[in-house]
Amino acid sequence: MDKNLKVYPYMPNTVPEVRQEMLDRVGIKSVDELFAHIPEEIRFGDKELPLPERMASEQTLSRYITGMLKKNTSCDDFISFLGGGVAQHYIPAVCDTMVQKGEYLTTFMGHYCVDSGKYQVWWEFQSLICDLTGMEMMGWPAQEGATSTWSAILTAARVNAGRKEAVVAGNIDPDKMRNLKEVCRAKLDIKVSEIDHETGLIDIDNFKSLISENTACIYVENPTFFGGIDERYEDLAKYAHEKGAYVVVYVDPISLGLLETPKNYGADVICGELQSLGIRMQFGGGMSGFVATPFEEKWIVEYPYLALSRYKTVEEGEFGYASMNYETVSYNKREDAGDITSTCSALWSVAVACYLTLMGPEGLREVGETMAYKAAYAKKRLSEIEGVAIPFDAKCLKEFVVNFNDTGKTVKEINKALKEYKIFGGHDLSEGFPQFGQSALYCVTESRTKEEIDYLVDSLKEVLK
Amino acid sequence: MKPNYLSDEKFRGTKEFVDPQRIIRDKFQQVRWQEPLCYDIGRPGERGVLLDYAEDEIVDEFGDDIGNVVPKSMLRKEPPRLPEVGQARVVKHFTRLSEQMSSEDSTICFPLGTCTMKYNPKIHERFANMPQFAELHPRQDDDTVQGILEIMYKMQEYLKALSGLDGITLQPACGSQGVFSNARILRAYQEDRGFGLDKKDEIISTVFSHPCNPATPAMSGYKVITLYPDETGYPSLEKFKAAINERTAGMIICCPDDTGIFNPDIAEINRAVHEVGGLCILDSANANGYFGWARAKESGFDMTHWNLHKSFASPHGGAGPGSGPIAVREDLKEYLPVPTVDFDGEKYFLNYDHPKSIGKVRSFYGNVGVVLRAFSWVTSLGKEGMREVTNTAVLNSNYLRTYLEELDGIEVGFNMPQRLHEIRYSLDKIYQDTGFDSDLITQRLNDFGIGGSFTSHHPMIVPNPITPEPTETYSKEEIDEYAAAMKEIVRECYEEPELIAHAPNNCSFPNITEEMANPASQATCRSVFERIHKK
Repeated sequence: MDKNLKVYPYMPNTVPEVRQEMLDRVGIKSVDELFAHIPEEIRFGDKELPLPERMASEQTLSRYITGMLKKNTSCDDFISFLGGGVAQHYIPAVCDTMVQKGEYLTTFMGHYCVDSGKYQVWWEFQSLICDLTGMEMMGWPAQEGATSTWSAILTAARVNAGRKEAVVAGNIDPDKMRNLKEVCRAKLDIKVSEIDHETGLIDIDNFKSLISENTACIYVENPTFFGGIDERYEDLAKYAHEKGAYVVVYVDPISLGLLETPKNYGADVICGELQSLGIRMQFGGGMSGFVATPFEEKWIVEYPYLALSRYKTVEEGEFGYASMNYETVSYNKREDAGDITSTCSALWSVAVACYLTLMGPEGLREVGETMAYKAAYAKKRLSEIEGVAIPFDAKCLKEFVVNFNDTGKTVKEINKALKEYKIFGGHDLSEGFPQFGQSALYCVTESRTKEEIDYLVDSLKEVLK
Repeated sequence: MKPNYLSDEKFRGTKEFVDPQRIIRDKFQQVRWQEPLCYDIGRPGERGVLLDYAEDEIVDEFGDDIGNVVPKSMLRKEPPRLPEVGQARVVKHFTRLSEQMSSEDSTICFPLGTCTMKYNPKIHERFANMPQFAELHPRQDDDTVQGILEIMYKMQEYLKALSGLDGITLQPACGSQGVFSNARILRAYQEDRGFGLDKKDEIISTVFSHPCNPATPAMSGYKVITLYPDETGYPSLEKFKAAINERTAGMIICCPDDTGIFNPDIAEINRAVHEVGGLCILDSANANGYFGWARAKESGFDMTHWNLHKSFASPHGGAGPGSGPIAVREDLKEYLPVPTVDFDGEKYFLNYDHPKSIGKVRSFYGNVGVVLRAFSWVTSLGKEGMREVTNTAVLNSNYLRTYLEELDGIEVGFNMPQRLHEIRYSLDKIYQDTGFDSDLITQRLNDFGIGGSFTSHHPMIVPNPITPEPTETYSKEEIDEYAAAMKEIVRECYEEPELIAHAPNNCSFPNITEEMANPASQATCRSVFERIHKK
């Protein structure tokens, strides 16, 4: 009989009688015997793990954890103008209901006959993203947008085998830039374009000058990290194609109900961050990406993630879903795959599928228009404040840069003061982009009301006095 | 009146192997909704939800024409082809589909080896859904998120305790990202010492490792040397020593590995790698087999990673989000991704001051919701509970073994006798006798309400494998039910083969036709599907 055995709600076989029956069946006196073969020099054995004592009561655990979480101030407590990849969008109630459902939450790799519901949702997700983007090859989601960025670039480079360079827009999230440079360095030489100081968009002539016969692909974003919408990519894509380079475009998918899909201006691969489509922020934990390409053999064999197809079943008129590219992804090809497909962000595909089904084409167009109007309004009102400038004249969807150079205050100081007014000011760009001085990235989603925008303006006026 | 075998006391806890007909669910039937696609429900004009439009005063400022605020040339000319469905029908659609899947919350047991399917405590969901977590923006100032930073910091301390190592990052989003981070740190470390790819370009792994174990170092430019096992089930020390040479940058392996074997030579193997200046990386995907009994540090490893959505009871979500934190020894801390979560004695903060960091592996700080759940789980178990997890998991696995080995046609793969939390069996004899492979046999388990059973990663070394992992949250009764179902299925293979031939028979979908092997019939989306079927 094992000494000091206690009972645990999650481990029913710790009940002493049950434990004894199992030990008897296995023919041992104590579980310790099952570990005796671990060499003594490394067996941890009777040493205590340097962890705290057990918190057995669910009540105590609840007090402890919620006590810590209550020290946080969330975007429900303060009015948030933070963006830069993640933002507080409105989450329809049905999305919450579905991602919290035990079935979707706790399912895993069941056979396609058994998990047909899961596979159908995943296939619908693939298809909805394809319909949104105009692409036709789509699989599991990526971990998040930044992963989809380097994954899309590497995919284009594998399809364009032999070419060793990629040209990347300079106006992207500095963290994403650092990540993609580090991940791609084994395969590609990354060239970064300059930014046009008037517009915040890329310097097109400089970008074109970096494209050569050795360029596997180019990478741009629309809207850019600074929020601007670039109208010139069609021409850039033509130029890249003439040089034999593929075109990778990163989007914010919530924009695609209103704005043109990059497919219609020359993109070969589209990628992006799905958080805006029904996923709660969760301190950056609620993110999901996607990579979508044409449905052509050269793209399909290099597609990085597991993808599902719809097939006939043995019953007439019925269709089922199963994976279609197991052979060409890392599960089978291991080190020859060039990328990794594995546990990703699949639960969020349920939220995204719900969101797109609920919103439909009209809803998506409306939310795009709402953000565009509200962001334009915020821009206009902010530019009226003395010392505050909107440095880039590119039109935007939901984000834009605000410059505070003439106020004599730093963004850090201003944001600290704004917290007194229960406002999270725009993300501080001064470290990532020092060339733009004391600038901040303000994000205005459909969650922000006119009243809140006016309150921001009034509060800033006070802070900047 | 027929006794209710499932609830009648006198049939429980018996020492004799129970009659399968008494405890398996032979009338189990999954629901079959024949639910159309989201595109094929609803009528044009239906709306699932309405949101606020921009206020009239705002629209009036710019005029009714949206082309006044966004570039006209960029306006979408054709709306995307998305569903148009009323809200109630949307709810029914996704609810019905949710009834057509196996899940940890509902299935009898889910012995999916290496995936460590265990109960996901519901109290964790209460925490994760609080707005004080769910509505946090990652770009908020540190002083507004002290609570979550404290949780992350303390989780780091837990992981140091479980590994014996010195530096942690919670940033990698899943196991393969964790392995990838370790491979990148390995490369940075070797390059710093003048051993770039021109001098050290080999990584050693074994064929049992998860495909990401070779795939991720290859993405960093390394050649992967894959070792195959002896009849023991693990490559011998001599095999390792033969592969280790001055070009060895490091080694990545699982220990215990997917077959349930703890390599008894591991300390010596790690020493041999160290002797040539290589680093030893432990893939702790199988941590359920070692909590409190072995640690990365004492076994001689320099780095490790875990899968919080496996061993640490965070839900799988179908295929994520997961979390793959890593632990490294002291002198590798400087390479950890930024930011680290630190504590200055008074407050918690995100520290970006690491000039030698490999950069970022995932946006922001990782899948923090998964970390939150895992933290709650370790806290609820404490030092004794964590060892109890492994005690119970390993006992469960060896208990199940006593039943499976009794069945004619099932044997443990390889001859190492001692196994831990999961065991790889071979059903090859059944295949040789009946023509039914282990895939089909495990599919028949679904007809009894039992969740997916893992066979093996590719390549399959053990012929016709099955790798059940009865984690610590399964009761003896549930394991007995699994064993009874296997006994029944083995009988069916020989005596009622028609039940196996097209298994599963009682599930929500029938089998897919052989057409799936034909590339011309593949369609990942609606438009391709319609084109193929000329709808």
